[in-house]
Amino acid sequence: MTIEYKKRLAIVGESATIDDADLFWDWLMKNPKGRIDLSACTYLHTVILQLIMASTVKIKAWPADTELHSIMETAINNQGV
Amino acid sequence: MSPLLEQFLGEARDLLQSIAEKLMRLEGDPSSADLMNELFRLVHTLKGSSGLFDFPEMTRVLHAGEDLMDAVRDSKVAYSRALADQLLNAMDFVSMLLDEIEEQGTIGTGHSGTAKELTEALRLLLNNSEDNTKGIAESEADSSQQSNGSPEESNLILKLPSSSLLLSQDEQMKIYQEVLGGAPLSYIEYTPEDECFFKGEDPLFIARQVPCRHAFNVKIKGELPALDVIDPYRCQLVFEILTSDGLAHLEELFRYVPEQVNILTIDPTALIVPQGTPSDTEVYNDFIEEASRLFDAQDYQSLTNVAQNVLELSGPDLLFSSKLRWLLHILAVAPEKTDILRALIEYLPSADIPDWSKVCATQQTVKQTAERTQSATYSETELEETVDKPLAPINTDVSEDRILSAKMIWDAQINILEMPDTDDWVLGRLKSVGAVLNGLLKSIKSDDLLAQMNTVLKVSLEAKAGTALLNWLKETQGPVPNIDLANIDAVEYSAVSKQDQVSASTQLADTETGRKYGRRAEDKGVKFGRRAEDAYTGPKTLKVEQTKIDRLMNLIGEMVVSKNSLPYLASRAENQFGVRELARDIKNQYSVINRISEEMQDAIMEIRMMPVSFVFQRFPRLVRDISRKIGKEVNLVLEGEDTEADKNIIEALADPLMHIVRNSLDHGLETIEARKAEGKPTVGTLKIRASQESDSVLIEISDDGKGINPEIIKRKAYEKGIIDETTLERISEQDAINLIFAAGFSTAEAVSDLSGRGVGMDVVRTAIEQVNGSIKLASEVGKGTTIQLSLPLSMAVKTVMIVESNKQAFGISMDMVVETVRVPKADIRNIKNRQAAVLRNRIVPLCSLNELLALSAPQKPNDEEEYATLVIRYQGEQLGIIVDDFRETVDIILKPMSSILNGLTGYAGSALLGDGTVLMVLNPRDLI
Repeated sequence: MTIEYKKRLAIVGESATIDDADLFWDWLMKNPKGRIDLSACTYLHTVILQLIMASTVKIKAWPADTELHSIMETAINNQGV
Repeated sequence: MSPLLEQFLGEARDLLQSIAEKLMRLEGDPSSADLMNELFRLVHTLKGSSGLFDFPEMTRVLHAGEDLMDAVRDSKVAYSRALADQLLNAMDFVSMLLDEIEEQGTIGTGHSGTAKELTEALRLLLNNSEDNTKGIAESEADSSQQSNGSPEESNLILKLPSSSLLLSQDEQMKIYQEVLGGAPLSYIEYTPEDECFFKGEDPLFIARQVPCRHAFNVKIKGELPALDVIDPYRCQLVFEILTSDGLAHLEELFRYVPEQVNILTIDPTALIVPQGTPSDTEVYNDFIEEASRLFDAQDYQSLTNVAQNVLELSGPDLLFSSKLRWLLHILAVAPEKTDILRALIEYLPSADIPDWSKVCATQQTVKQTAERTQSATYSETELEETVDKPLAPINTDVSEDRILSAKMIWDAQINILEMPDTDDWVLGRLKSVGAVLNGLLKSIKSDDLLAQMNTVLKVSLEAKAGTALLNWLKETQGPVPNIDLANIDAVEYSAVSKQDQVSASTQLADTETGRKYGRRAEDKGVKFGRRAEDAYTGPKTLKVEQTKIDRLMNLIGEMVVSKNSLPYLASRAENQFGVRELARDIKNQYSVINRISEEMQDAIMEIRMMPVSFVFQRFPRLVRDISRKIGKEVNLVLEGEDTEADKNIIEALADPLMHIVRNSLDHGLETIEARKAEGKPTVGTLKIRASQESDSVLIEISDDGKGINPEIIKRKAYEKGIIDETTLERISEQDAINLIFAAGFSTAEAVSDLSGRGVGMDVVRTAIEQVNGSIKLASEVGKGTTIQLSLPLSMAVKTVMIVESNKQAFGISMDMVVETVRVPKADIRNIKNRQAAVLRNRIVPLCSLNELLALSAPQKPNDEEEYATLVIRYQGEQLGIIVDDFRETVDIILKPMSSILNGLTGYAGSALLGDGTVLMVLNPRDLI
């Protein structure tokens, strides 16, 4: 399991693959006000990114990986631009 | 290069050949459904095989070809010559890729563009057909429109394609400086297809591979649906990247998804996007006037100072300040870009930012008219910059190419005229040179030179001598300095000037021209210009029927036999006719022929060699299926698969090996539980190893199973009556284990569908011995069993020793012979009714050949009362066979007994000898 689900917090491990998508999607729908901790993440499958972009959850911690951090930040903040 | 790839190359070439042939035949018979099906199948096969390897370009083109053929097959598309051309063209491309693979082992990175064009061309034929009313002409018009967005055209982009890639001004300036310093700048828009996840693609991952990124943005196609209705496995994202990575590398990166990526080369000017809040600029009017004046006076130092002062006084977030900062930056890094500077100053009071495409275009037109006499397009500094950059290499290349070709044609004409002439030739030659020059000068639009040339040509023709024209050609330093590129530029595209380059900016300014250029590019298409005779690289492998090789084998056999008659001839010459010198000559000749025929024999043998992998390849599947069925876990290890042996040997090996492997799986390896109980790893190992040892192939099959318990074997053998009570007590463990090779032996309690019928190991041994191989078995209870097969590399040519018995000659295979000795009659002892002798401190049982062959005559000793004894190896023991006399050893081709002699035991086969007699070769194993 590469994503750990707590009550209102999803902690994404080093990599989040397409196999995690279904569970993650479920969690996102059940926790519209949930938060995501991405700090350990270095690899994120497009599906997961797309789900995060479609969701309303908050990012509790951005990836420590600066490259992924900047990509995700632009992706989430520039949404719709 | 892996054997698989080698095989693919060979097959692919065959397929290409057949595809070309089918296409040719279809031209004659376009309605033939059979041919069409066949053609589709060929393209389909080729595509399928190419998919095994990492050649996306090849697979993509073939896939498009396959789709097209499928449509033709279903009569959705009519077969046409244009279609055949396009398909042949695609096959030429594939053939070129094959060449490259053969040379380098892989495909270079530069082909994705070509592959894309070919694919598009093929798809276009497919799409057009959906509306069959459209003629070919129309379809071409279509294609030109479609290609409007193609990369050649939009080589240089003066406006950043997306506002979402906004960079901070500092970033913009930094990149601008880098690009001026020679770094490329590309904008990538990667729109993954909706279904991409199902193809195992991860677009974000691919996009993250782009190095030297300046900006990275993720957009959404349309609108992202709410979370509860979203289809998460449908990719809705679009990636935009600004990078300084080289175009070639980018193409390689996106080579699997070229149709989903749009890569645009960006002109650095596009980066000059001042940003900020527009403000009232009236207060700056004085400064703006001053700046314009200083700029016109080219006093950049003062301009810089003034601008700096004003900048310090202005709010940093204003658009005006941003423009000022850009002005200062360009003054510092690229003051030669006057048009940009001017535009920036002009736009200072405005709330807008300059539209660079317009700025550059105006500059272009102005300069062009003003400086038409020189090569105007290039003298203009800014554009010169642009063209010199690696971003637009195509443009410069084409023009240089043209100049070079023109010069070459020119020089060739000089050479032609310099050739010595006779009267009959000179007129024709002059006319031909005239025609060539006419075309050349027309194509480069050099009207005055053309007029001059025609006058000189006339003079020459009248004088019937080429001197005048030659002199003129030499004086006029070639066509090059007279090429007026600007002139060409302005002229409508004529048929001959198709390839002319146009400066990128002009194209953008003049959309009309741009569109035409686009169309021209499409018209040209991708042509490899391979003619049938060029494309023929010749197959490197031949598929030959085995019968042909067999014939060759037989012939070389006969050659070996007739070669062997030369020594007889030599001895006859010497002994019978007393011509010693002739005998020596014959012997010399014999040694030459002998050497050649031996080499030839080796060469033919080599043709028949096959790697054991042909037998091994079925084991992974077999082991997997069987082990599943019987609930065991087995790890199969194959080693030395490329060891080679004669085809017959390899074929003979197949069944025995299968038996052995099944036995190992069924009896040898334990079930998972049993292994656990034994403390062994749950996964059993079955290892099949092939290696070559001098003249034989060794195949070792070992397992780490329970091994063979000699006690059980002994008991079973006794129960089945294979051994008697005394043997049961005395037999050694190894001998007991070897009992499993005895006929009718089986230890299995129940006959399973895998093994246990009691025919297994006996049949294995017989099969191996039939090809003159041997089998050895070693086993340790609880540790496992190892079976070693030793097979000759080849069974075609054998060395046999000829022995004489009862005035007949017999052959015995040399690999059985240990030694030949003469045993004095006195040394032979009778033990019960058997004879034996002590040789080298060992008791060797003896038997006479006559007795074995059921001949009544006794063996004849020599004058010293010694018996000629042939010591052979028999089942690991030595055995002496008494014969009348020994003769020489010869190489023979052993022919197995055929027809009614087939059932005859005791003989391995027959062979022809050099003197024409037939030699029967004994098989002592049968005899004893």
